[in-house]
Amino acid sequence: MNVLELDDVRLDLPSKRGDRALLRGVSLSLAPGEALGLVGESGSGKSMTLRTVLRTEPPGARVTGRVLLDGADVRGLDAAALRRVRANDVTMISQNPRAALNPVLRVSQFLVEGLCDARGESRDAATRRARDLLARVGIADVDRCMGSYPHQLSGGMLQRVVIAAAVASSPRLLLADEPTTALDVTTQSEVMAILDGQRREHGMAMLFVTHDLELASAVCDRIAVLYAGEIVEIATPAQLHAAPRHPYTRLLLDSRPSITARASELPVIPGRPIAAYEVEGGCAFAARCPWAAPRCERDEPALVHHAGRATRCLRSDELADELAGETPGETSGETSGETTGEPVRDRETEATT
Amino acid sequence: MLRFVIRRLGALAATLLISSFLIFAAMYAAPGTPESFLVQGRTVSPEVLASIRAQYGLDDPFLLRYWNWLSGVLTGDLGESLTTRQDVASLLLSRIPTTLWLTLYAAVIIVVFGVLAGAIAGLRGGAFDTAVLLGSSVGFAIPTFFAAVLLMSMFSVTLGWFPVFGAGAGFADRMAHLTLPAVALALPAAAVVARITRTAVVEERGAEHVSVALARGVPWRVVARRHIVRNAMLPVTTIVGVNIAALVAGAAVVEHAFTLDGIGAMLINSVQQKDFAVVQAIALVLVAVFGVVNLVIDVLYAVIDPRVQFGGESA
Ligand SMILES: Nc1ncnc2c1ncn2[C@@H]1O[C@H](COP(=O)(O)OP(=O)(O)O)[C@@H](O)[C@H]1O
Ligand code: SF4
Ligand SMILES: [Mg+2]
Repeated sequence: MNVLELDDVRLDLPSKRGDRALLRGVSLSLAPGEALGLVGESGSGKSMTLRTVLRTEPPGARVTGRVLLDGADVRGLDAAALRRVRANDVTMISQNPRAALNPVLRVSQFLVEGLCDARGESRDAATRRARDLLARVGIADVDRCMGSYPHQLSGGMLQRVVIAAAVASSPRLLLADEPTTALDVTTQSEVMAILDGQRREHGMAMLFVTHDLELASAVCDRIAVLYAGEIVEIATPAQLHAAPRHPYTRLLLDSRPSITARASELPVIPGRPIAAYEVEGGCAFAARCPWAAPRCERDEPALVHHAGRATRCLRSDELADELAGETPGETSGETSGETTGEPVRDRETEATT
Repeated sequence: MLRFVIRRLGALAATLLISSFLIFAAMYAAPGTPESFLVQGRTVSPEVLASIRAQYGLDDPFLLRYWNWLSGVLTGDLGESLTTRQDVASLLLSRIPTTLWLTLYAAVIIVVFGVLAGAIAGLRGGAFDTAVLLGSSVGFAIPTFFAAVLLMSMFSVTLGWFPVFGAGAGFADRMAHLTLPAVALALPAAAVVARITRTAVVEERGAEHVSVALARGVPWRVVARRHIVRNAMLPVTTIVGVNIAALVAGAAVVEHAFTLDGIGAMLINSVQQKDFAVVQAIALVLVAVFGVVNLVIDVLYAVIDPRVQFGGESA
């Protein structure tokens, strides 16, 4: 059974100008231990998708569709059961570790409260395990870290603390929302290696949100590409790089930045990304799609599953060869997957030995 | 920490010195002379007048008079009352307990009702929140003297629950006597504190670390206590401190209205009678109390907020 299954999840948020759709029917699934990357431009609804799983969406939001955790719908849980799921089964790592920790509490209090207050473990046992976890995420001076306040630690250290807290309960599912975006480049790969190592060690499934297709390719088993609140393509990194089936994926691959200078946002694709609530029928990507045909403005493409992958494009079959073809100056998917994959894996061995 | 306190005490001493000079100079510049009050409109011979002036050192140069007064103050000699000829220091000491109890009582009311009401309003929202918002607007708008008269006529005269005048003797009797004055005194400050506590709690409730704690499965009441209310207390502490320090000054109106024999009422009488020695002493005491309360608040703040570093350098 899948750890997580989103089935046609829609999210509407009331605003002054009527309801706004932020998610327009997201469907995806994660097998136990699998890592699924969720990639898309800023504002495409990546964070909102994660929030429907832990039910932390903005107040007033209306969510429809099913969010199945080990087959049980989390949307229907009562408060006590939801709290148990949050404490035991699903944890989340957010983009900015500095905002995630209470500035006036020590790291030890942050770690212990997740085990003690949330899970009912004894304070002593919780403290012992917190120290152990800090050592495992590569923190050298555990005593000092435990006694520190957040403002005394660097962003990289804090994100390690947050990772330690996230794996503490050995959850079935880890939701990581751009966990390295707020960090500098060298710290990014270190933190990524630790996260990946911990995930494998604890056998957790991971839903990994990023705007960085290369990073997702390096750490994930499959990648889902999100555009304007819906998934336009799901495939393995190798499939995506070798033969993208959706025009948006193709443009993402073409415009990826060089590995040395990883941009903070997805590089330029001509045209403005549209928000989910701006879609007016037809294909959401039609306004920016170089391959758009007249019917693309009229007919809404469905997510079509075929040969282990899924695509939402009316013309994906006829465009298959064109989308898979090389463009000048383009490196092939496999090599680029390796170049980002290599340093990550290297450090992982360092961190776990 | 110790160095911080010592530095602040030094600053407080400097403040007191400057205030003492200003207070003394203000008395000097005030219209009417002490001797004209002392002779009380009787016609006296120039010789008598001269001897009075000599007795009180009124002919000495300004700075010498200031120095004489200051050195007296530093050795605990606050001089003599011009009206009653009593020692000002012992006069003050006999009046301080009433004011102390009154302001402490009011401070407790501010903390318990102001902070509690504000925190519950911020956490719960709904009807209680609306009631607190409304109540705080009313409480803040009513002038203290009017509140005093209103409370007296309602609870003392009409209902007869509380005594009308005096400070009472013994703890219970004193509390009974001081309840209405303390409520009148605390009302505006409690309103402000409730309002600010509510705002701080609402703001803190929206902080990311709060939703993170909830998303980790930490129970709501733990999050409310440890993350929301605790963090909201940081700005509230300062506001509570300033309001409590200001109570000492506000006590004058309330003591006057309820005819309590505290130093506030004494200040008003002394001003009316141009009893300069007493007015100077009380003014100095007020400045000192204000300074000490603020110092205590600053130390307290640094203790509850780890990001504040004693001595100014922050990490
Ligand atoms: N609290 C909120 N209230 C209203 N709109 C929001 C809120 N959070 C996000 N949105 C909107 O929802 C859309 C998706 O946001 P999000 O999921 O955060 O995007 P991503 O994580 O992919 O950058 C955006 O258009 C954003 O403006
Ligand atoms: S459906 Fe049409 S517009 Fe949309 S991605 Fe496919 S080709 Fe482009
Ligand atoms: Mg986001």
